[in-house]
Amino acid sequence: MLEVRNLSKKFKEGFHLEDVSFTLKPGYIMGFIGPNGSGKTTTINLIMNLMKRDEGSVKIFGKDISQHEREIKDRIGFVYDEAHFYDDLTLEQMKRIIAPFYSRWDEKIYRDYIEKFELNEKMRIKKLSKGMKMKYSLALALSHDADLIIMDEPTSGLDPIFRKEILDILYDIIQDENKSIFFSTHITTDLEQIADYITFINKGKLVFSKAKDEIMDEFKIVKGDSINLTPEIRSSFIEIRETGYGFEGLTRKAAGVKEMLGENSLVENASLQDIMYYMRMEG
Amino acid sequence: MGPLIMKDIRLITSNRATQIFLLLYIPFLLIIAGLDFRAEYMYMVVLVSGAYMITVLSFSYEIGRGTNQLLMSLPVRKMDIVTAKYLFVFAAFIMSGIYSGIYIGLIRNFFYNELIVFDIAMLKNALILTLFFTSIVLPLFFGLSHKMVNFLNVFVFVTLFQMFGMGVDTLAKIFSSFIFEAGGGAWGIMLGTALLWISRQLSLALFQRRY
Repeated sequence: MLEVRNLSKKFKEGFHLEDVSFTLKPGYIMGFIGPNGSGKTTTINLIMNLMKRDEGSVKIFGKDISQHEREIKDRIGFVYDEAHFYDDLTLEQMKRIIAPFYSRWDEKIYRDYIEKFELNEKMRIKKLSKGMKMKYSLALALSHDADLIIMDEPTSGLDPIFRKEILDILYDIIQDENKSIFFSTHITTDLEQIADYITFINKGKLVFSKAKDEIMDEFKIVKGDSINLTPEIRSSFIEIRETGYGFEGLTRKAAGVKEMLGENSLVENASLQDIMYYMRMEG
Repeated sequence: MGPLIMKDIRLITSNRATQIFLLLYIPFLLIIAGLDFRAEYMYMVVLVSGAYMITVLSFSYEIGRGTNQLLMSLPVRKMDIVTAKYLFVFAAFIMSGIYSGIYIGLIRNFFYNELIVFDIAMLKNALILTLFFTSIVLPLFFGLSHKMVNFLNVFVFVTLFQMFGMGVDTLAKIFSSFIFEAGGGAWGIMLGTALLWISRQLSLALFQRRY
């Protein structure tokens, strides 16, 4: 469905997206995580061919995006982090601009979403709240029977109820096993609910791209008393945070660490937020 | 290509600020140009300026608000985005011709009891000038930053006005022999169209380099 290989992009300002590769199969949701400024939006822009890549390839539906741009984008539903709409237009006018571009535009589906999201088509876009804009953006992205939905921070800045609604919609979409969703976020709890795969980048480099369950099994948080931290134990951690009350660290070798620390330790499942936090410190 | 041109037409006709602007720009233009509604070539001034502004306004709106990013995410080739902007010049010319014709026609009819006499040669010359000036300004939009393009756009527009300020006789002297009159104006239109095509190639190269 989506195959990114050795993607690189260098900016004059100094940021460098380096050798990013991952694959998304049909029927799955992939969460794309990383701290602010890690290169998530750049990667998405490169996937969508919104900027020129320096190296690497992006294949969507088995075809290179730069060579089959129109054909591929006809099957993609794209949601920006900020809605780049024509603010002075009404929802109806905006739809009239967007719809003719898609060969599979379905007016009925669009109407259903407008009704479901309780949007007033006579309203001007600039009058919509951020949440309503995101819903409208989703309605447009989902009304042409897209096979791949790409979203850049769709839940950022939204309240938990809106976020839950959006996640429910995404979950409904994915019930069709031929469709996939790729979305970036820094709200990792959203991904814990619905993502099948997680791709994590930090400072422009890929840290990992794996099945969520595999990540949850692989990474553990170990807590204990700093006094027990020998150099050997320390080397088993990806990163350790020490306070006056003890230490807490992320490790891939939980069993070994537990054996060395014995009863003086507590092993817990690491959340995606923990992983992102400690991996960021390591980077 | 159709949806892209329609998009620009919708942007011009749906935006309230643009509507107000279009309503007021003709008298404003005539005041600046020092003309009145009875001036001989006033219709040409309004027609060319209108076509130029309609072309530039929708483009400027898109770049200024980042909505060109939305356009890029749609199933459309970069080549089509560029070509559509150039085809829109002709749509803008027709829109400006009809709009300013009705506007000026009504005023002359009500206030001076005179009608606009439609002069084919004038329309031809107006088209040539529109092609020339839009050929200059469009590559700037595709290749430069928003701030820079706004600055240069004003410069091009002022130059256009300076030309009109010279008066129709001077303008005719400059252009008539080699552009307006040669081949009954056909050479001028061909030259303008060729310039527009060269400009489109330049815009495409700039746009592809940028994205």
